[in-house]
Amino acid sequence: MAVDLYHFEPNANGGKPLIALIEKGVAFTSHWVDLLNWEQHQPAYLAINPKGQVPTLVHDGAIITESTPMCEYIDEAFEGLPLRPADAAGRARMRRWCRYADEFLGPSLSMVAWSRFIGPMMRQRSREELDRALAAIPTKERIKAWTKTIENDFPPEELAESQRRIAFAAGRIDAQLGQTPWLAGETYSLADIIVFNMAAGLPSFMAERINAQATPHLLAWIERVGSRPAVREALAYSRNSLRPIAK
Amino acid sequence: MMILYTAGPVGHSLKVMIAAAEKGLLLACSPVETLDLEHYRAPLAMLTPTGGLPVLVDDELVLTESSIINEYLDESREGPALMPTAAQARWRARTWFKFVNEDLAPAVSILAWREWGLPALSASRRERLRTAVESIEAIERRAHWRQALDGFLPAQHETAEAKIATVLDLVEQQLADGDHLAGPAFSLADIDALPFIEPLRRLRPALIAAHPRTDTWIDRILERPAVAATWSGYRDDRWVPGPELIRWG
Repeated sequence: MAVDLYHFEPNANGGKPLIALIEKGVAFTSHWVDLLNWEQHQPAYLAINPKGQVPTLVHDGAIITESTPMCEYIDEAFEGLPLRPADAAGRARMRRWCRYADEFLGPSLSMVAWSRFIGPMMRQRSREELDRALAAIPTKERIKAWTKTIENDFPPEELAESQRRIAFAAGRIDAQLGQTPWLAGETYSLADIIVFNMAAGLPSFMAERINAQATPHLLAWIERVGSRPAVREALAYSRNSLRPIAK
Repeated sequence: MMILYTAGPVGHSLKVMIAAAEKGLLLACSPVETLDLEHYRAPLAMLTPTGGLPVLVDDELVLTESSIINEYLDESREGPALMPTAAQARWRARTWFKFVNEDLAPAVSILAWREWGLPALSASRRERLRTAVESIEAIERRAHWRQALDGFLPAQHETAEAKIATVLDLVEQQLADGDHLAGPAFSLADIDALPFIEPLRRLRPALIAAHPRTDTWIDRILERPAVAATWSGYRDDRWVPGPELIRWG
């Protein structure tokens, strides 16, 4: 059995399958894809994932993309710790949190993170390098996102709305965790893994609105998830690529 | 008995109505007056804080999000299985849920609202709605409705057209490998996509003509007795503003 995971930093989408595989005890080969040096748009990677997105899982030749469906695949295709509730209602609650993370929290968080971390890094590169990189992007959507980032084309009202959504989502997650130990109820599940990947950095990212006073359950849960051996092992894959650049 | 609050047989609500019919389930369908914003007021707003429809109430469980409701019905009730059994085919079905919910549905809703929903509103009703949407609690939904009543922006239409073209190419490519979206057999993936692809026959006929396998697939799914029976109540002017386009990524 061959399991290969192509990923970048163990946060946002990349960390989801990384944690899931380690939680289940699946042996896999890790392949670092350097997003900041555009490896995801190089022919070698596009042969695996034509959209140029990370992460990608290759399981005995089958190419599995899209990190959230990928996580359910990992739980269904491999033995090991079950990462979904045993009952249909629990799985439905789990999937609602996964959708909420992907559709509500994730996009707003990415927008702020790209404007804050990736944009300034890109503006240190030469115009020639950036033009070459943009020309290699396979989809119009991604070209648009990268261009916006490079040119810092983020209107203040758009960023403010994203920040509002992040804080609102943190409040909702906190409220749920005030009622149940884990997001889908009584058991740790993919909902915790997927939301953790986005939420772990929030207390430092938005300390003024997400902290031990405002969102105590969220902070305690971040500790609880983050101290799981599998999660610590996944986080150790970090190369600390997304440090803020001093102005 | 389970209760399903719907926007009528259109869009996301239609998906769940089809899945229930395919499984032979009895649901008490309760149509919501979407253009009176009934789902943004108590008591319905308690069940769906963001105003999303349909909503399934099964005893103490309250669920929104049509694809999630469909998987729940499939997993918790008797009747023909609507998800494939192999892990890879199940993964493929769920990627279709994602492409439909995040890309196709918001995009088609924008076109359908411009072509059918908005023109069907009388001027006085539009004015009444303008006042009414101001009391929608979820800020992003309120902003979305305001924009819908003013007409979506050219940039939003442009994004919508691009997303539709991209997803249709994916569908066409997938159908080269088999008759259905998640593999050889009919599944929830086909149910998920159909309510947002069939209307493109009238919204973008040239685009559908350029995707012949997709065109044939529409007929293949529509011919299923459970689908045909549910679809008989569909009307183009039932469209209301759908979910917003994804903000980033």
